[in-house]
Amino acid sequence: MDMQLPVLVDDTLLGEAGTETPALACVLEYAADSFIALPVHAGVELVESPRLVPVPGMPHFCRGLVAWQARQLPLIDLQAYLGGVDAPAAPAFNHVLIVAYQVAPGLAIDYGAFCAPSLIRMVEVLDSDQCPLPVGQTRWDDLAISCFLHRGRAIPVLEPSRIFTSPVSPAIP
Amino acid sequence: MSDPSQTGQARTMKMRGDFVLLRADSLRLLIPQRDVSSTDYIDQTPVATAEPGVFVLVDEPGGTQAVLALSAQMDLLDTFPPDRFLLTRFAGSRQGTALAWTEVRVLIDTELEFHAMPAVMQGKGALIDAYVEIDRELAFCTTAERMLPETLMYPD
Repeated sequence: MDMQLPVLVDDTLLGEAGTETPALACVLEYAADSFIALPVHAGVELVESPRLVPVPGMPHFCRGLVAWQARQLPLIDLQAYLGGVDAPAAPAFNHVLIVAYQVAPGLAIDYGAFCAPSLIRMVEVLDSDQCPLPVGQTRWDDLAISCFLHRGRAIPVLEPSRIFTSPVSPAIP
Repeated sequence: MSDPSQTGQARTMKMRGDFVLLRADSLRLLIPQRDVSSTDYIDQTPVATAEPGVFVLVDEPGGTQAVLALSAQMDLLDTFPPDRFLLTRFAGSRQGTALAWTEVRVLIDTELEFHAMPAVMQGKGALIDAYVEIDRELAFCTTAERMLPETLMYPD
């Protein structure tokens, strides 16, 4: 498995760790000025222009199946998923982010994909950066395992298994 | 067709059987052969009805035949595409309505590898429960019952 992501290293946090040991997180700007983070082990690969096959009857936030390493993975448009049925589709994207998840300990690793309109930014996160989940249109409690403050923004850390095993958008109607 | 996602924990399973591969534009569907009662050429121009997306063949031996044409997303098309020249009729209670296709292939005693459709991809209608790869292209598995729900059926 290729664990190398073409990422942007966020240099503003380098050297600020102090006595705390920072953890790494993958940050994705899934829509203009809208960010989510993933645990660093969950971001597997950024794939350019993969073959996409739409699936009849799929929910509005799905784009289809993308081929990756002899598998077909569900591709989720996070802007539509998090924003609900009235959300606009994701901005044009050339890449998809392949993510790994495990539904429960002991079960096989599974994979899915998110539309990636921007490159992934790798940031260092300290325990002291932890903050409450944003309050808004999305039920973050159902999706996120944590949240941290970065450059003045609260960035939820998503648990991908909660997205890829649920056919329902968490947006509040 | 049995649902591979519902058979234990298996996400992928090989199954041998008789199937029909249906193609309409970029849509490729695989259904059990037992769901299809007959296949014919469409040798007349379907006539639009007052019901959007519903056409009829008026010169059929058994009388008027309702016929539908599906989009790639399995919605009804309001305009009958000229490349749909094959007609399938279905068994059981769905025999009153037929669907039009560009290609119909019967696969007899064929072993296929079925992959369960990821849960997140299944919409409310659960049209598709699995997919297979045939000739390096995906085909989506469904049944006549799911393609033709009660709301789309028209009596003879």
